[in-house]
Amino acid sequence: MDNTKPAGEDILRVEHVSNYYSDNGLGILRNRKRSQVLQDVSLTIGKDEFFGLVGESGCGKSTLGNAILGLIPYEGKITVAGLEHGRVSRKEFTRHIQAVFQDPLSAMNPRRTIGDTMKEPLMAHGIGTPKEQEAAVRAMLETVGLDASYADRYPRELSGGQRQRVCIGAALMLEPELIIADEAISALDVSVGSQILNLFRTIDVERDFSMLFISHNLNVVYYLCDRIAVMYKGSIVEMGTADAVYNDPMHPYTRLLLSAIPDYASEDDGDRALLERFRPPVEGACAFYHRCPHATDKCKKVPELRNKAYRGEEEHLVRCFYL
Amino acid sequence: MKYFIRKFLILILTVFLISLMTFVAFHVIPGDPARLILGTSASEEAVEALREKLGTNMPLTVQYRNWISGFLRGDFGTSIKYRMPVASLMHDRIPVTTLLGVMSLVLILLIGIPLGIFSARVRNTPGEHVLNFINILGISFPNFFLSIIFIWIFGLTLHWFTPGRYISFDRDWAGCLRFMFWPALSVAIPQTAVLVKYVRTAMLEQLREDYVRTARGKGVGETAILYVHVFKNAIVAVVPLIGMIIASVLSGSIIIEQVYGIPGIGKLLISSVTSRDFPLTQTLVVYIAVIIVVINFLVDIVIQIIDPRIRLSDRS
Repeated sequence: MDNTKPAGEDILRVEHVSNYYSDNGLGILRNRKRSQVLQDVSLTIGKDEFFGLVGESGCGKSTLGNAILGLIPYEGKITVAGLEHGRVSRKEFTRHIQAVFQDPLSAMNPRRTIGDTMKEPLMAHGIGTPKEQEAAVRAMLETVGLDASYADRYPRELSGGQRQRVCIGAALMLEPELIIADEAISALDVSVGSQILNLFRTIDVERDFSMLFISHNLNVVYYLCDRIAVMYKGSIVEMGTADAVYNDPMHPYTRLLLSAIPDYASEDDGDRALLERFRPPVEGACAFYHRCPHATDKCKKVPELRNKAYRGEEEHLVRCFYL
Repeated sequence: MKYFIRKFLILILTVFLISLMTFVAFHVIPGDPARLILGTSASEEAVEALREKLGTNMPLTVQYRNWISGFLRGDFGTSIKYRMPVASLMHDRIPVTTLLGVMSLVLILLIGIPLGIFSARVRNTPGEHVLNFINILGISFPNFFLSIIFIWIFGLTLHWFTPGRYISFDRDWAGCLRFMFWPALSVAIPQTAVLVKYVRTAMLEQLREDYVRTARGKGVGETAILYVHVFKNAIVAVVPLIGMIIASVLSGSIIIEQVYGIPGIGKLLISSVTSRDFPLTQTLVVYIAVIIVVINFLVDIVIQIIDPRIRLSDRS
């Protein structure tokens, strides 16, 4: 695929990554099913760039996040800050990439204080004396908008938003180049979620880091990110600048996603008809074939991701024969 | 605190019900103690006189009240067989059984917990299958069978101890521990196997938790994850099992004392049952039941202390 930026500036490079999930079934009765979760996914995230990955649940967006974090096996090549997982130790790898997950409560050990949880990355990497670590935790708590006294509390004592602030703080402790935020605000109330979004924006001003923000909500991603990729059934169907994808969606699936966002200003719900299943799925067809209103026999093959940028756009990749 | 008081009241109620049920059970089963003492050839008058003396001719409610009030004062009645106060019979035997129980428990925890952690560590390797196989053997062998094997191999063949010759702790504590190791091990093995399985399951459950993923993402090593994160959370799930294990150790030692000829509570209980020594049996059954109830009460309190989630719900 095309890379508009020189490779040196990319914090994250995902090249032709695929991943399979095999169902081992019941012992000898096993009926090995190999279902593909990620299909030849490629993307790059530049320095200080916020990149949004959108798609419905089960589309593989979290799987991609986990693959990038090195938590699951994959085929293809992923490099973070020039390092490839497996080539360097996990410890070394984690200095450059940290994650914030959906449920902040379960992401924290219930038996350890907030301070312990936030100190842990520094301890694991042997950074600083105990005193310096304490000071770093207090400073970070204030960075994420919490009082330093929270260090002595337990996760259960905090509200959902406060917990997520702690998780973000813990992710920032090692000053990583890349943060993966996997549905980081989906478990929170809307108002609390938007506070967290604003926190990301504030921290972005103060610090240099890139982010892969994974969400099912295109509005949220548009608000926060510089570039967006839309994922459907394990492959990227549209990718471009946030403005291009949000304001000028091309792929039928992206248009469907946008129409699924309630917009009370318009009474027009023509695209909602897309939600209906159109035709039985065909093996080896375009991922969106069975739901696409425009599909023809040509769509029984997988289309390439091609740059359809026009009107002075930098890049706008779409995976469709008819665009 | 409210929880503590409620648990304590339940404890009192449980102990009362145990004493009541034990008492009723022993008076429903056939067999007249007075007749038993004097034999079948004794005259009806003599038997009646003895009933008067033992108090067994009074209404059951009165008998129960007398028994309980004596119990609370530490007067457990007089053994029919030994013609001695039950209290003094128990006095000599309680330390013996306690030693056996404590030794078994120490063995169970010392072997079970590390082995449980180890078997969680070797998950998805051939070692896992080997451990599982040994574990199932350990769970399936009854402890009296293990005792017989131990007596045969280590006692009769290797002469590491002399079967049937109990050495008193006061006379030779080292010899006593050397002897008691084998019965303690016999009691411990099946319980250890249960504990290993339980610890392993609890560890694997915790390993699937999200915070483990987070810790890995922070760069924490696998060993640190296992001990710093997983073990501390897993052990909370294991503590309730300790109460059950102690109960099994107590009931296990009843048979084991018989097999090894250890003069403890268990041996006393069996001989009291076979000789229909009602006052003695009643007291021993209540004694063992109370110990188990109290231990479970203590386990509940310990869980309160070590689990921050429960502690917190109490605070708010």
